[in-house]
Amino acid sequence: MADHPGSLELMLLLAVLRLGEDKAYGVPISTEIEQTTGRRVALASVYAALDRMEERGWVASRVGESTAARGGRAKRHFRVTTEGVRLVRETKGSLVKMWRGIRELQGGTT
Amino acid sequence: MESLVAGRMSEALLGDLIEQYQGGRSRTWYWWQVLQALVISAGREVRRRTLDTVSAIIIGCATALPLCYASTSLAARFVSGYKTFLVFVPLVFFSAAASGWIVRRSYPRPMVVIYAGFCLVASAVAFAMYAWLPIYDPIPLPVLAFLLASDFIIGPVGVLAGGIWASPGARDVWESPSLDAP
Repeated sequence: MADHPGSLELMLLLAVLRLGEDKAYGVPISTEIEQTTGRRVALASVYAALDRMEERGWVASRVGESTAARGGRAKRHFRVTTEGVRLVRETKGSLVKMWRGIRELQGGTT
Repeated sequence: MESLVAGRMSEALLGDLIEQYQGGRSRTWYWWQVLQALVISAGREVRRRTLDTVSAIIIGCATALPLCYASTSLAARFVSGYKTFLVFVPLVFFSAAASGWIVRRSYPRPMVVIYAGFCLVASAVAFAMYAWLPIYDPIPLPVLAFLLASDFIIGPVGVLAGGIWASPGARDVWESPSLDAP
């Protein structure tokens, strides 16, 4: 099993952390990623990736309330587990180390 | 979608789609998301259960092909000319639906979509071979139209219809715990 998140998985972890457990379900997660990064993610991709991440223990989910506006279907709320938070920190640390000392990436916006 | 997408994904996803649709998203957006959900769920199942995928396709084909061959051969004894195709269309549909029914009752939900997708790909390969290899005499246009319709529309739609038809009583024993679970 992979120990490192891919770019979509990392974005999902960060989006879930930004939203907090109460707001972190499919639509807001997808919207958060789109508004923050400009990347459009299909709702099915969001759930497929979150399912995979739940199996790896990076996130946990609980069934929320079902409303008439959702055709009586329940929401599935996600939260990042301690393992998930550790993983995000490690990934950030690794990326920052990789970033350092690259002349082309310093000082400009391109 | 509830009948064909993996259990853990379908309820929450369908709820999200309905919420968004009620909130003003277009019908095109809705159906595009549904199509993506079917494809993503099927692709995931192929990776996770490759051997089961192969056996589902074999069982589907082993049901549909003999049923289709036997029923159309029998029908051809009583009807002649191009009218035969009018009889063949429902026979092809019901043969495909029967195979979709069996696949849905024997395997997890996305297998029906995978099997229908396989039918489309196999038909495309068969027609490509016909087009590129000069091994057959030209097929008369009405026959070709029937074959195209049955392979690319009637068959796959029949498989999906059979799968949806079988869903209410199907046990999803191989799937992850349902969201309905307490």
